[in-house]
Amino acid sequence: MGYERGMKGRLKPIEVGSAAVLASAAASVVVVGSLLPRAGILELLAAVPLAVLAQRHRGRSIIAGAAAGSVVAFVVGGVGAGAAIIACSVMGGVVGSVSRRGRGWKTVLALAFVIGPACGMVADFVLWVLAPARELAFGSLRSAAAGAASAVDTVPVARVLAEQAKSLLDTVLGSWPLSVAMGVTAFMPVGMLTVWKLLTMVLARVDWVRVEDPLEVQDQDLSPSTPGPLLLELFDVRYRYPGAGTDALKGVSLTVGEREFIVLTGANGSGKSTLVRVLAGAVPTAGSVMRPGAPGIGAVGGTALILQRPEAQVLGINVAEDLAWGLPDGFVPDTATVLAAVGLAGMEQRPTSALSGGQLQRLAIASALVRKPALLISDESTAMIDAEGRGSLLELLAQLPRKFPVTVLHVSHSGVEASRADRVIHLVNGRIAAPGPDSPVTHSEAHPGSGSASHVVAPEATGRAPVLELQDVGHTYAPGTPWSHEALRPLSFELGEGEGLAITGENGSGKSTLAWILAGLLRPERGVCLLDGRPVVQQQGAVALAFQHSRLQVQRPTVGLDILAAAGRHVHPKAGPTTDDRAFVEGALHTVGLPAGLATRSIEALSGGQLRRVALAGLIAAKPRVLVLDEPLAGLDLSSRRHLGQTLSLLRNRDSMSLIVISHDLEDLWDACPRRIDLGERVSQRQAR
Amino acid sequence: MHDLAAETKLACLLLITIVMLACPGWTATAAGTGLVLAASRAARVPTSAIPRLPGWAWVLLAVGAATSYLGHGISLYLQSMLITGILLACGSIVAWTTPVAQIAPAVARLASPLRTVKVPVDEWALVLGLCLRSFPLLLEEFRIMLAARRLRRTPPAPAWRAGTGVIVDVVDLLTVTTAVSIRRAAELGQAITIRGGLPTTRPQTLPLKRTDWWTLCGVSTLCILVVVATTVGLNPA
Repeated sequence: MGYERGMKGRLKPIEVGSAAVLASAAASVVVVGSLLPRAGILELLAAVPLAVLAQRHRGRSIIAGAAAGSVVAFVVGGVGAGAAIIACSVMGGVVGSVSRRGRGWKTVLALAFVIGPACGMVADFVLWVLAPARELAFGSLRSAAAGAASAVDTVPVARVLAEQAKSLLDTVLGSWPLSVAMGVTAFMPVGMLTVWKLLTMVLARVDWVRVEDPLEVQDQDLSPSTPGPLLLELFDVRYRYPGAGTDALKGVSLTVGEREFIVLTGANGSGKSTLVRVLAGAVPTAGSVMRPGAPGIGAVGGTALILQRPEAQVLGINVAEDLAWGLPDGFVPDTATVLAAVGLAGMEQRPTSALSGGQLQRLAIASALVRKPALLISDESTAMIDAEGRGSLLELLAQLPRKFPVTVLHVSHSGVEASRADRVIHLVNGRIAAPGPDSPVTHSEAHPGSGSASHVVAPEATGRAPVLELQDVGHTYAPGTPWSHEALRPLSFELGEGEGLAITGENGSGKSTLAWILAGLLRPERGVCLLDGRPVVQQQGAVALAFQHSRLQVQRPTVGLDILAAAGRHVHPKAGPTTDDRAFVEGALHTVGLPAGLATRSIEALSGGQLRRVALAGLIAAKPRVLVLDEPLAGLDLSSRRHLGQTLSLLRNRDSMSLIVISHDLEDLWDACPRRIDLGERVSQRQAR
Repeated sequence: MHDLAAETKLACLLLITIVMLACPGWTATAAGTGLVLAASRAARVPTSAIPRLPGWAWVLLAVGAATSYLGHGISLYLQSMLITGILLACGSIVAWTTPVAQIAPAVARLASPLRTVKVPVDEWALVLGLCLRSFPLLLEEFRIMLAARRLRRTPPAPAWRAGTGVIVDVVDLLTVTTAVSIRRAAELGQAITIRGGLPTTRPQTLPLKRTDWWTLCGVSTLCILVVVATTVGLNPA
């Protein structure tokens, strides 16, 4: 957690991150809200992310968040949106601070009675300054009311009502300073209590989200000495997390020398991440770590890190800005050489949002290299990249020590990657072990069919009527505007019952667009997508879609409740799930190979792999006609991938569910989806502004 | 327009917004319309970029116009609609011609006078830069969240759920947003730590070009003229 009593001075990295993201969330709520009719209520919801910010961090961060959020809202949605963010910051800031100090709703109410009149006076002052605009708005309202009244002049009852409404409006507008102040004063307690109630409901559920900066321990050990991470020697290092029963590292000794390429392997939970923390500077519970200088995270000549999620490491809006982000004063980066070395030559002005996952990881390596690090730790940086990109990224990492004076330590759960290493460190249960027979080193490099990448396999002769039928389906976003771009080239295919189809294609070839069309979420701009002969847009829910980002899909508080909601079963809020419901959840969890005990677990306490399986369990429980999975393997480790492949094969063969897997990575899915369609290369470059 | 510094465009946008709100009238409306037309020409905005309103918006506009006409306030109505349109158009032109990466340094520069009263302008600019970067990602996440919800086939709600349904939906969506945001914030914090912590230096800014000064002079002169004309009573409304 970011907040500690008595913290002073500049914002910390986590505070800057929280202020930016939560203010951005508030701004997007306001902007989305201003596009929809029921605006007023929706804009109040923007106060909740800001309240969360104030609840977790110092006042300084809520002020920074309010400033940034209002500028974003002003640029995107105009004056009204900017003002809404400021109002929401006041309400959310107060409510969040009250919650942080452990006070209750009574404090909120008391403060609301102070803040309400104060804000009312501010509103009066603004309206007084902008007198002409005020007169214009009031005049328009008056004439509209008069017009509406004269329109119903001949209807007897309506006439009386209209006259009364008109005179009421006249009274309110006539004494506007009083009515505005009173309106704001009356609204504040209601609004702030609503925000308070929503905040407590949300906080009770996100309490499970344990985020900590694993490198934060760093700060305490940050001696002023110069960076010098190598030569690094670990002797009998043990590490135990606070509150844990056992050591995560149980006596590790190793040496890291200069210009080596070392691969660290091991299953999930073997202590790889913990070892990375220690190598990056965390102080072990026992044992000794020797290095000539400080670890120097991110410092010139220090330790650089590349993490798993490509998009999580980007800080710049374009490539050049990202490379230069946070460089020390007066340090001139050798941008061109570094970009050329990672294969991004000439892309300085490319927006980071237009880069693929593999390119983002290359950018992360480049941003590390400009600081001339002595040690570069790649923490599973290849895990979320497609098979082809993974190979070339690994090759790049392996070559770095030959081109630059740097040691690369690459963490991987794929044994295949170890073959490129100068040295392999294999962790089993917190200890270094020799690569054993159960290690995945011998795992087949590729399936017999995977060499021929881009061709369309003829449909299987099933002889049955197709379940899903695409006739010449293509899509262009924003047609007829300067932003128009074709996202999906016209495509036709049929899918039979119990058939498994894999759709592959490069980044930008329209895979996600196709997924949305298949699920009926998007009406294709050309062609039709039919399910049992009817357009699938009219049957939303009949085709289930597993999104790549499962965390956005699993939305109820607990695993059990989410599976029930996904299956369309109502649960009484007071009574809870019935015995029948519980058996149902147990069955659904069993299908995806999860223990029944997980049913009562909070969704926020699940790992990425578990979450994906819970999402899948819910979708399967709804018994869809077709199951579409968008990049189901991304970020899963080897055993989870195999397990998912088996589950999908079983669903298709035993339950004759029709499957479509959209992925650029098909290892372990050959049995589930034998048929294959390739969308080819990217459709068109998005037009640069 | 595309070559102007972001500082110039944001300053002009702010100035126009203030003048439009302070002196709304036919003078300001005419000047604003002229400015929007000139700026769209300079920015080479194609006609296809003009947003098309959905049918219901036209109906609302027509109803508004009809009632105002009956209430003898059609002139006021037209003015307020035109001013709204001008402000939206100015914002869109600025957004369309300015690379996102330029906005945070530009705001920091415009707000630099605040440094003298110890406002942490650089800290705010840092947050603003990351906020702008997260914004499209969060909008996309909203889209996915709502889509996932739409795909859940919910049978007709039993009586006890009817009223609470909306609240449950709102709390669910807020929770997912918050949880995703907290995680993303932690990732950002970690990414900053990896780069050796928060930068202590200011981003480099380029000096303003001659066209920037001409634009600033032109727009401020126009604004002053509008204010003078309105206050001395040339305003027919």
